[in-house]
Amino acid sequence: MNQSQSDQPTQSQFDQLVEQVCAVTVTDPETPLVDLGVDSLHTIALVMAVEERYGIEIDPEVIGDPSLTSSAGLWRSVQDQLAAALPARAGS
Amino acid sequence: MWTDIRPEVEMPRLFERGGDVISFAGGLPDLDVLPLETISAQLSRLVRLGGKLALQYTTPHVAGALVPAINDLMAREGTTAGADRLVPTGGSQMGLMAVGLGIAAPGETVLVQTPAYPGAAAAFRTAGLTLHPAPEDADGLDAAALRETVLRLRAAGRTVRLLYCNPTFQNPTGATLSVARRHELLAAARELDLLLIEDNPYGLLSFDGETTTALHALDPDRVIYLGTFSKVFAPGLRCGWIAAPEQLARTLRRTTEIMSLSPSALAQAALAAFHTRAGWSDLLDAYRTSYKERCALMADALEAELGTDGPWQWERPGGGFYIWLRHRDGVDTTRFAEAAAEHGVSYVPGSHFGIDGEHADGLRLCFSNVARGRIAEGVTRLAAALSAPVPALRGAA
Ligand SMILES: Cc1ncc(COP(=O)(O)O)c(C=O)c1O
Repeated sequence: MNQSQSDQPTQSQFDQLVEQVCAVTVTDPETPLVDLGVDSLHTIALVMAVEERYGIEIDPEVIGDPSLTSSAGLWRSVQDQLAAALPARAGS
Repeated sequence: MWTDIRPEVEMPRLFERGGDVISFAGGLPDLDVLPLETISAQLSRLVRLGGKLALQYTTPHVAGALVPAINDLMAREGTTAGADRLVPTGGSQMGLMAVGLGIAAPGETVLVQTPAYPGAAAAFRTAGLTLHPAPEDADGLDAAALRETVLRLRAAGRTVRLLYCNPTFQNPTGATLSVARRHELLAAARELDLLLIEDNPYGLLSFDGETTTALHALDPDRVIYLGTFSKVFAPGLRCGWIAAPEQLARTLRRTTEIMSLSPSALAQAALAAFHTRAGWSDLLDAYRTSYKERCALMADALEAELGTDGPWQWERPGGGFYIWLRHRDGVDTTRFAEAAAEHGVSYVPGSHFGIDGEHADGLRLCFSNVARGRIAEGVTRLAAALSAPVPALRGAA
């Protein structure tokens, strides 16, 4: 999943993934998933799908924190992980 | 106690000799089709990310994440159920026990489509219910005769509120009740105020990919639907569900809580994650292909070995796990079990599927878990055992 900067998926594409996995409508990406009616097991299923899609590992602590488990919060985690992985990939 | 009776899968081992027995007895799925590496990676991810939740106790509700996965399965047979109608189980066997304990009252009569899955009869008996065969004709459950039977039983003072059936690719016959019959059955159920228990482990395992509209689709308020992941995913996860009218679902949740305290969040989450990633279609197709091939091998071999005009009669099923043979002259098939063991093959005698010793002239062959290359040999052995002179029953003079 070695995407260049230009074809990086956007927040709205990420929202679509959240909507598809969690069967909810994301109107404001900052709304905690729990406030959209997504329970914690469902959030785990979402993070599993996100990890696999982007080839990253997300810190399990993120899942317990409602402020981090909004669509926007998760998207920030994804970008942090992708950024952290870049130098390693470039060197490999 | 019924549990003292040897379970059906164990029973034929009684007569087995050595390790070369080809078993047509136990109804096991072919797990060769499971993508184990994917499942392994997902379980590992699940435990790392959510172990503290997935390994914890949980409430007797189907996890929100699993609801779409269940509805994806149910929709293939024309039905759905919201979370308020769903109750998690550890498989349909637990669902049967929960219905027997939670919905019925000890002493009441449950009508049972026969020949019946022995686990259903055993569960209802354990719940203290009396079993009575549901009337059938050549096309299956017979609504007109059902009216007579129910009225007669009620006139004799019996309480009759439930009818158990396995309408699609029935265990053990492989038969499927037509949609027209399903409508007639439900019309009779409404008239007689009966609830139907629809046990449906095999409905999505047709060989051609076709499905039959579930009873639950036709009248969700008259049907307690038992679903399971045992045959569309794997039985080792012990995960299934009941779809029932909301009021009954509430009762069943309390019953299942008493039975097992908590469903497995781990199993539910693993199934939800699998569905999110891959959906069900590929796995269902892989199972169907496997069973279609095995069934054809078995049916072809049966035709070659037993012919079509001999004493053994059967029909090629359109799906499921089983072929049901019947002896034209009503011979009790228990008599051949020992000869079968001597020839190195096993089956389940029909009497196991009766509720009072009937259907002894049948025998169930399961093709779902036999290596493809062993099926023809197994049928040759079976034919040798079945065409031996009919022995006397053991213990008989
Ligand atoms: C008709 C029928 N009902 C229920 C079951 C129980 O299945 P499980 O408890 O694994 O869901 C079986 C298993 O073979 C079956 O054939």
